[in-house]
Amino acid sequence: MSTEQSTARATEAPPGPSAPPPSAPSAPPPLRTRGLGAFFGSHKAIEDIDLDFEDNTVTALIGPSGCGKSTYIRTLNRMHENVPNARIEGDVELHGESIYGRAADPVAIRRAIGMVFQRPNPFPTKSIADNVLAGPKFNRIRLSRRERQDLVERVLRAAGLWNEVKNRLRAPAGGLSGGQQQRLCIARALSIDPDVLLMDEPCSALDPQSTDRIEELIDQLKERVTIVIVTHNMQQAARVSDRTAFITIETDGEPGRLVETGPTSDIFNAPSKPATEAYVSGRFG
Amino acid sequence: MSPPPATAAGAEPEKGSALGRSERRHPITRPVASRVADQAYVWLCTLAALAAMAGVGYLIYKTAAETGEVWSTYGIWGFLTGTEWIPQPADGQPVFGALPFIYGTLVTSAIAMALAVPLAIGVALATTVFLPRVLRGPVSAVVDLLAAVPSVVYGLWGILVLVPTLRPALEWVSEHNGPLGFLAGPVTSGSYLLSGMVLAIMVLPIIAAITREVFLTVPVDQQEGAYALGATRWEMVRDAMLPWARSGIVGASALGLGRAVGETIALALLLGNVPNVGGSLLGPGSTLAGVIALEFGEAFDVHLAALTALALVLFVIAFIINALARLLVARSSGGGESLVRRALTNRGLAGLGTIRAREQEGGDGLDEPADEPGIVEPPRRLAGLPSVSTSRRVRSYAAEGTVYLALALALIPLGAILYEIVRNGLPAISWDFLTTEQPPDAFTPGGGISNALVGTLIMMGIATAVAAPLGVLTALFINDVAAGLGPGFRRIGDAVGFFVDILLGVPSVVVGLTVYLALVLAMGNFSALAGGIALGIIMFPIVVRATDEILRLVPEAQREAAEALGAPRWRTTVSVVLPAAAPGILTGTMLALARASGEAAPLLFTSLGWQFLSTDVLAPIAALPQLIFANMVDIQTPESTELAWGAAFVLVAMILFLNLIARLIARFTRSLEVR
Amino acid sequence: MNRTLRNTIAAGIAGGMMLTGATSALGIANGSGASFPNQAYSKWCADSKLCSYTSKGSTGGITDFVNGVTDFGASDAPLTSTQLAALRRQRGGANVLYFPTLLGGVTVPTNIDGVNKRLKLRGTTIAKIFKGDIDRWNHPEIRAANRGVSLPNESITRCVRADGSGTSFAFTSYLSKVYPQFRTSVGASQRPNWPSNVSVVTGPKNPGVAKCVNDNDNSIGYVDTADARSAGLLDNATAVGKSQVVRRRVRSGGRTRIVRQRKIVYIAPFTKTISRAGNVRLRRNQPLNVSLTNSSAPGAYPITTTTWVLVYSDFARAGKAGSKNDVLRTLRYFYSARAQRDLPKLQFAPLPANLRAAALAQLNRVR
Repeated sequence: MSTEQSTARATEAPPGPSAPPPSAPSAPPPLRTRGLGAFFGSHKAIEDIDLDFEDNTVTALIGPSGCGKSTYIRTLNRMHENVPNARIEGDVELHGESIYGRAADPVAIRRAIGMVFQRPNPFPTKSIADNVLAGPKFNRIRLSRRERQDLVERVLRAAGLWNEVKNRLRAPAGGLSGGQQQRLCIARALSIDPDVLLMDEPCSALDPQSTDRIEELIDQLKERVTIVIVTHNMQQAARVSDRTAFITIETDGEPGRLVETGPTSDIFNAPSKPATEAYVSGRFG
Repeated sequence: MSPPPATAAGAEPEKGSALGRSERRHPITRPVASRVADQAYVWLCTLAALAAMAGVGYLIYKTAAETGEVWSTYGIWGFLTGTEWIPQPADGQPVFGALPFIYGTLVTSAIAMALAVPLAIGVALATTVFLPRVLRGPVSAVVDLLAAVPSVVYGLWGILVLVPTLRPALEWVSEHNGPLGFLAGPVTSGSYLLSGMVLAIMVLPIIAAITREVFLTVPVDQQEGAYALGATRWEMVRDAMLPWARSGIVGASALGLGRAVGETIALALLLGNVPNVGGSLLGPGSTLAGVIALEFGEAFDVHLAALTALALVLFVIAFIINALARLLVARSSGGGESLVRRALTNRGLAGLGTIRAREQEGGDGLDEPADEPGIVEPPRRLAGLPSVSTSRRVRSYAAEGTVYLALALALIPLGAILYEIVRNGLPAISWDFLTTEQPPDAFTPGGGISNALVGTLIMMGIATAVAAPLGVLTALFINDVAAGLGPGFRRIGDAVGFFVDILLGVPSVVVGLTVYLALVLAMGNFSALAGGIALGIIMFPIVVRATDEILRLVPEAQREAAEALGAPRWRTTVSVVLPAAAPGILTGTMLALARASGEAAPLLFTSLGWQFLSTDVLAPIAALPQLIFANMVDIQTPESTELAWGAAFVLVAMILFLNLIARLIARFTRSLEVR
Repeated sequence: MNRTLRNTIAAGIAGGMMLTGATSALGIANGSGASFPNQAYSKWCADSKLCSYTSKGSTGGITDFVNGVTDFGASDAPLTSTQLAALRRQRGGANVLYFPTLLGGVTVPTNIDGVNKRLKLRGTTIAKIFKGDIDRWNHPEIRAANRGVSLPNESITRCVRADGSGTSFAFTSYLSKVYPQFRTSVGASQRPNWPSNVSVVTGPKNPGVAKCVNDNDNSIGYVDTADARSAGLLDNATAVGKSQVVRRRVRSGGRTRIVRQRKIVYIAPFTKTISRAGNVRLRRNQPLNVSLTNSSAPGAYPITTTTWVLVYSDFARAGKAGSKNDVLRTLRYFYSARAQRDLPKLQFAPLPANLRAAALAQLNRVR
């Protein structure tokens, strides 16, 4: 871990939505899947997906309903295992190390790879502050009173929620609106400083204004963390992502497969596969 | 709290995070301590579940082991179909046949269910849909309270009030029954019909309370859908609520039936204990649980073995009822079993309101703070708009009238029992009554209940300390641990749940006998500890059932939220699942405590009794239900009756008080959490 | 961890530790068994503070006594041979000693339309009624004993116990003694098997039977004296007739002679008449489990029963050495004049002097 180096870089490079520098081939990417397939019992939901997720990059996963996007993203932090009879083939690597290896532990993996769900799921009876502090608490990170206050403010600011809730940090989170709840969930995920943040259709249950806020937020967050986002909304994918991966199923009963991946502008403007072309231009799905 | 604002949102560089290539900042392995904690959690729950299974297994084994002589002498078929029960014949061999008792159990339970289920549905509908809003809460609170009345009071109320009241009517029926041979006279003071009625009154509060909660889970949009089609209130109920709630009602009835089948004291008092098969419903009979309770104290040798064999038969009947109920619920359309679960756990669970609301609302309304789901009021009719046809309106009014009639029919006896307890019990209450030991004999006025009151409190404490942690851990095993260990273990979890459910129908005297054999004999004396453990075993399945149901209610999204933050499994349980479930667990424990605190029969085998004030948990101790039984049933003098009613009042008041405290605690802890 | 749960558990453990040993039962003999003498034993124990008694039925008391989980037992019936064998096996060969403590009558109250006085019935008549040989109140045998009473031509409703009980045992063993046909068809039993052609109405416990008699016209039942009094049935309790030798003065030729003559006398259940039944002849060191029903003692109420405290013959062998003195002190109190004087107001009768002396003598045999 090199604090000096990273701090130095932080001052060097200007923040912004501009495309990231091309990835250096020397080190493995933060997250990568190799030949990944996922099963529910005997049913195969996705098959043979190879993807690299780069630093400071938002990668959007798009595809028709039921293509396995959500299944795929849930394999990335081993949430997939929670479903009875679920299993995978292939591998997922975090910084070159398999998260399905013998030594790897799902609990540790999830602390390194955070997740925001389709529907906001704050702990409704816990206060807003306690929702944020749940991450450190779960991971036995002992914080002083001062550190706790700082953390709450920092991540709530990062999630763009601070000004709305700073006067009611002790109120139950269940009382927030849906959009606020989702931003609270993002703040909560940031509280443990993950390497990667997975977002499974984070805006699908929100109104347009809330969606705007979240999209802005994603743009700001990619400076800090590698983001993978599943979305149904192609405008959203175009707006927030640097790279896009298109997954689809060809016929019913087939597993979902990766069709193509590339810089977002390429996928939307000049897709190389007809299936992608059909999907992004709205003729399919 | 307002610390000085840090740097602008998002701009503050995180330790280790940066633009450009980052490095792995978190290990993908877990500290040993954390893994050990998870293992410990899994093992703890597994051990609790195994202990529970071992306990149930031991109970069945001990029961079965005592019965060998019966099967070898009379044969299984011979015993089951034998119609005679002559434990002490003038000469020759005793004769034991179980059929009269099986018959009596089935007939009284059938009468009870036939009466209780429609009335309970009526009460549930009235308290959710038809009554004015202000009345719904109080009426359902009264109904809930009756779940806590000890069964000996139900039995005595039956003898003292119901029988004399109904006697003229029954005599008229028996004289004018015409072709109805099953209602022929003579009218005896104990009969199938009266026992069934009292049983119905006993199980009605349970079924009504759960059914009510089931109705409350009917999604708002279903109700609105019906109203939007122009349905009247009754039509909404018929087309939207009843179909949705059907499986829930089946499940609620199964729980009520379990109570009815296992009931002892009330039936021992009311049915007459005459082994009959067939004959008039106005005549006397006998049930399995009743004959066990009545004859256990005086039985030995083969007679004891035969009674134990009856207990085994009761196990099997409980098993079959359980399996059938599960099948019915599984087959029934609608919300499925989860409805019963929700209903069971919704009782007094304001803490889960928001969760429940969120679950039910689907994708809508997320941008408004969630509120309690509920019943939609019918739209007001505007003048000048086309109105509902007369026939539809008549039918709807008739249906509403029927619901109110059911409510009245249910509330009259329930109110009468409460009235009787207050009228007879309240005058006895004084400070001296609570702080004086029991009188030396039934002819001496004065005296109090201090020894019995303290004994009951101590044993309830022990019972709770045994049943609550073990019950919660077992429920966690069924719900969380077993499922997490893999599909095979999920089955094991289901099996544990099934066996625990069988315990619900086991007559308490059998529990008492088992503790006598296992603990009292080993320790060499009766003790408050043994009594508390016996009561704990009676509480255990109720706690497991309630906790299991509420754990299922905790949304998966909550668990996932914690897991996605890297919370170990035990952490998720302790920090997220249990706090959300706490009010429900508390309510379930209270219901269990209410049921156990009224038990007298198992205590004769475990804590025995003590005439003096004692707080020694390793010595015999007195208890309120025994005091009530001894002074109302064993002997009846004006002095003893007054004492017994006073004790009954205190027992009911105590349960009510505990219930209130529990709800306050639930509310208080919730406010602590959000402070 | 959930705060509530944690607090509850902590409080439970702390409370439990505080309670253990706070009060001790040491020095107080613990007894269980027959419900019949419950009122007397409870009062004696409460007054003397030497013992605590719980009524749970004679068999339950014997079982506890055999298993050694109480200090003394109480029973209306002697141990059966099986129970005795179990006692010897489990309690190191110790035997049982029977200590009669009090006498009680089983009353036979009636409730007949238009009859407001005590009926006179011979033991055999009562047996015939409960066996089913007599089915109507105006049966000649009943009328013959009750001249001047207008008995209705109504069928008899018989009220019996729903549960097993010592009262049933005393009643049926009396009827078995006076009417052989009753012995062969029903017999002496705690839970009599009433003939199937006889319709009986059952009530739970003594109050249940008393209530049954009160509720049903033209009924007859059997109830202990205490509950008969509580239910207001004592004045309707049958005077039971038995054959007894009476002395009569016969005046013949100016001289008065005393003639012994066998005659039916009707005796109602009073403390005095019940107490007389205890006047039995006893051999020295004879076991005191003698039956008192159908007593031939003059003027004794015939359906009289006693009840015993069961004591180990040898406490040390029984593994109960620590409780010997407590039990002996308790029994000495039970036989004290003060304790025996309490009995009439509890509707029992005190032991006659001979029985009390014999019992006190046997106390010395306890090792």
